[in-house]
Amino acid sequence: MSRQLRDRKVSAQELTAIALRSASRLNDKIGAFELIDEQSALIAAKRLDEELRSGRDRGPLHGIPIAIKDIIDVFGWPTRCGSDTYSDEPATEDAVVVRNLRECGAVLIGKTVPHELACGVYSHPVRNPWNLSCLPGGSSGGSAACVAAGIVPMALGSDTGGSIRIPASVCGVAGIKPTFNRISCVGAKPLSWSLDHIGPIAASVEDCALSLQAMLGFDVSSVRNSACDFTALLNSGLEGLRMGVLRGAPFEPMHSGVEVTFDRAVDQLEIIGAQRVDVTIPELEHTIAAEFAIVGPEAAHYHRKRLREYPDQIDPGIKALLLAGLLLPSTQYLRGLQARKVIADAIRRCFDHHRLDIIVTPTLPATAATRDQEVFEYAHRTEPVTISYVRTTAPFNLSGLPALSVPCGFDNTGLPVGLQFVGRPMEDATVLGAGHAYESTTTWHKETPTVS
Amino acid sequence: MRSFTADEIATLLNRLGLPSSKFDTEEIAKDLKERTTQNETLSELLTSAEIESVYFDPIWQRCRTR
Repeated sequence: MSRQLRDRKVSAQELTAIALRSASRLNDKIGAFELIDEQSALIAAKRLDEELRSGRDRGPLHGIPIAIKDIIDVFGWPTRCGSDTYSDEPATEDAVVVRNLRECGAVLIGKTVPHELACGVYSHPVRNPWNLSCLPGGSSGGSAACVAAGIVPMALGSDTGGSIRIPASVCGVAGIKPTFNRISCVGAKPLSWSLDHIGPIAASVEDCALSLQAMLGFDVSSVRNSACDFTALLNSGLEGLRMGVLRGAPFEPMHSGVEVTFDRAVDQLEIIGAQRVDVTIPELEHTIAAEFAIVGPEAAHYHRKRLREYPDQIDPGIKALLLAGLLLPSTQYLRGLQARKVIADAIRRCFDHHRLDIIVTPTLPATAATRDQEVFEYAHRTEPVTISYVRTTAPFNLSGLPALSVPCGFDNTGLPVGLQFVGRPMEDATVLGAGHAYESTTTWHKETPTVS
Repeated sequence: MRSFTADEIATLLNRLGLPSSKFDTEEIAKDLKERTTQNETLSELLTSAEIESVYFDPIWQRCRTR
């Protein structure tokens, strides 16, 4: 798209008009958008076309239509968080990431539907473009669905226990949760400030890298941000790279369709140069207990006023999590934070001991559940859908490590499977390089769903 | 750890300024018990190491290995 814009084969206004038409046409089917703002998008696109004509080029995102998850502030648009407890008052300022994306020339066409309060994996009423009776994952379900349906090449998501990688995996697109605190969360409604991350969901790994670069910008409020290049290793290949294949809890059990597809992806990574080492990290068995010990109290603290004023307008499951967060002793929260440190140290030891550059896992142990499905059945276990999804993604929220999901095939029902790449802290470029190397030798990311 | 009764939950909610009549306190008591049991499993993880703080710094290794 970006190349076509520069070659004057297409204009930003034309690209935006196509995205807007597609968003309106498909929203009845997949329900990905909470808000579509045709007028402001077309005005922005016209201005960006004029800039390009006059010689001002803001970079790869110049004139590219994108969408924003509706927990992130965009000036002039309300932030509803998928909840009736939020007002329709428009935000008075852009979130830092939104400001940076605008500076880089992105055209904002609208806001996507999240799971209520960004706290869940169903994202009702959004539907999965690969199968309309299936959920799109969450909480960034609207963002993944609109990218999978080809409406926009990138949409912003957020990830506290897997909320970028879960929908990316079940919708067959790429999504990265960068290193903790590398991308500013200022201007996004928190769920759990110790675990929240913002990142892109995109049509390809390269688009993820270019988007992250734009999102980074210059944020004076975040001292850890420094000059860096997320695209630096996109073409470095995998030759000599040491890859840990993570086995055992919490990645097992998994559905056979996922296991077969994952093993094939690992074989492919070896063929293109990665050195494979099988590893286990037993401490990760405690992922769910640690994750919920932290999310509950932090989310409850942030939403306590909503709980007091709108108790009838919050989903019962979320209400239970929030109330538990308010009522459980503080020692349980502190145990969660201690467990987080132990888990992060255990992953570090694994990287160091085996001299690993990356770790790979299946993003999820199962593909998309149906929209009303509550549990997954495994050989010796029945498990709630939410726990099943979060157990393989949350270890890397707890440890703050960069984690990317890339499409790696389909199960026997035609639903996408995701491959997760995890890197050392601040090694987002290594993760993106490995993901891009894999993607470059496969065609899974080029497959399109029937609804597009 | 001792479990809360439904009445105790109602008292706690009222003290926090939450309208206890709007919540199913029996259900909350059950949920809290389950979460406490889950949290107690963390003991297995935490007894093996001396943990002096909960300070978290993800920037533990910046060097590249290749």
